[in-house]
Amino acid sequence: MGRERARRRRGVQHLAALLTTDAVLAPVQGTTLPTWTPRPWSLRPASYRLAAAPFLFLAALFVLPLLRVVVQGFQHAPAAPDNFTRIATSGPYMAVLLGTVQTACVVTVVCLLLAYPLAYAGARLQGRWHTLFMGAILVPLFTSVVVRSYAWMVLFQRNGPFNQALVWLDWPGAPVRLLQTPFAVDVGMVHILLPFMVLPILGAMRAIDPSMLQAGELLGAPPWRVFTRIFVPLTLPGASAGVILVFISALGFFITPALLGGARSTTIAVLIEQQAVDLLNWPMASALATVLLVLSVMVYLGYNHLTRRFNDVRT
Amino acid sequence: MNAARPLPLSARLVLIAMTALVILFLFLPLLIVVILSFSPLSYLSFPPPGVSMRWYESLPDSPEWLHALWSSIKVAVPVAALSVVLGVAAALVAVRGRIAGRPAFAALVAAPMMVPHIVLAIGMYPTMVDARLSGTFAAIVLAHTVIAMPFVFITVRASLQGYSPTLEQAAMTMGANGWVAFRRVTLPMVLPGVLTGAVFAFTASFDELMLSLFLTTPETNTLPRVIWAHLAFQLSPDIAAVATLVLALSCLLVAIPLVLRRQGAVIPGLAE
Repeated sequence: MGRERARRRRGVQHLAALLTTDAVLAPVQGTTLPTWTPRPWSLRPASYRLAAAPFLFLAALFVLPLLRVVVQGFQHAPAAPDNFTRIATSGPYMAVLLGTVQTACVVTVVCLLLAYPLAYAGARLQGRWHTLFMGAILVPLFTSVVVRSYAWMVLFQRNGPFNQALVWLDWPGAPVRLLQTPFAVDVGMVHILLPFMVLPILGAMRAIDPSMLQAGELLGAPPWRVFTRIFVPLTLPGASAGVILVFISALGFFITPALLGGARSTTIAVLIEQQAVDLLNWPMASALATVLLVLSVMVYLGYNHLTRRFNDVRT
Repeated sequence: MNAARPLPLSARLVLIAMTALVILFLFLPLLIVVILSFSPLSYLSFPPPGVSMRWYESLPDSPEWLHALWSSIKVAVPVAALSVVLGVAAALVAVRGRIAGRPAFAALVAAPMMVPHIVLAIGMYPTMVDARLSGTFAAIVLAHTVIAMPFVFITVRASLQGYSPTLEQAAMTMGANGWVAFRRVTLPMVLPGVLTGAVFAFTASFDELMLSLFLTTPETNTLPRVIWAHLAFQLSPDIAAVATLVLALSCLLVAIPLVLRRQGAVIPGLAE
């Protein structure tokens, strides 16, 4: 009985694959099939039930916690000014916020400059070399961020390998202080975020139809012009996706700045953690988190708006 | 880009040199950690004066590391499983479902990827306290699933979009009912995507520190949490040994999506 059913199912699968090959479908294309065609299995009745589990899960553990952050952010002692006024007018808050945005900008630009040629090389590779290249991008991506930040702490120590190299090169002033500087934070963050920039650009490059480039050549464009006028514009959607992903991740970065940065290179995420864990000032932590959330959402919506307009222009 | 025109030799050399330098930048720090983990000294000195296994040999004697590793696995495996269940359901709805507000639903499921973990952690902690789950494994598993589920959603959605519904239609013409068509046609087609998503979900949980900082107790400390605590006071080579083992695990895990990619699975972020 069981064997009979399994045999029938294998038959069903085999026939399904067979019947959808072009050779079988070609003669009937354009003609009306006289027989009844079933709909592909439809989710209509089950759709809402199927959507309910992920929806309720995210409502309870994603949407509600975020709303809670915003609500908590507005709580403050009756006599004191509210948290958002304090963030805007006093303390280190605005300086840290601006510093975070600045770091995110630097990291995003450096990532883009490093990732573009890297992705270009990766997109040209074939077969085993391409798989090796993907491994080289994915291994760092899969390695714990804490481990990678630790690696930079080791590298950047006062008597670490980097300083030893500087001394060997007779670098003026070597050994230099590297840990707890903005430079260390920038390098560490670029290291961690680079794969997120490479992947979408690589995807866009591999999706390019070579006939587009050949068309440019046939029309007499020199290679650099084909590159700047056809190739680069076709990779822009991938590049912009990478830029937005890296920029938003960089805005909320915690581990690397906390380990490699000093008091002066604190980011907003480090400040939030200090307020919550060290000072137990949850309303202030929540207010700062609200600012970070609003900032991230605004950046994302701005990106969406721009890319939509860009796509409208192109089509 | 498959029929790419060969570059002139000079351009090719420049490109190869740049690629090699950036890949060196990506791997050099990891390599140095691996080398230092074999150092015989109790402080970090580079290059180490010899080779020794003492930090690996002493790891089993330290219950803290083993406990942390075990905790991380006890969290990451259920996170991957829960993410698969929720992520596959969400992907089916987003691609084939017939519900009002389908684009909004898809945006909601992918949204946790774009929210900084610190913001989520600030909201998650009081939520878990209210639910009387604070300090439990369940709290960490649920919190990690929020950030891990989008990976499964993205890979499975791409797999579902990658083939035509006529396959299922054909199966049903042959007499399969909806459930059989789903199990015998849909599921095998999306399986590489499901597995890729599961590996990414596992890694997202295994690597996660921010939510763990707020939700774990000494009983439930995960591996990144314990490494973090150690980094606060010293940079000893036993961390390098643990880091090397974590790195080895990452290398093993990376092979899975690379193999599955040949069977049509998509790597998150790499939309081809």
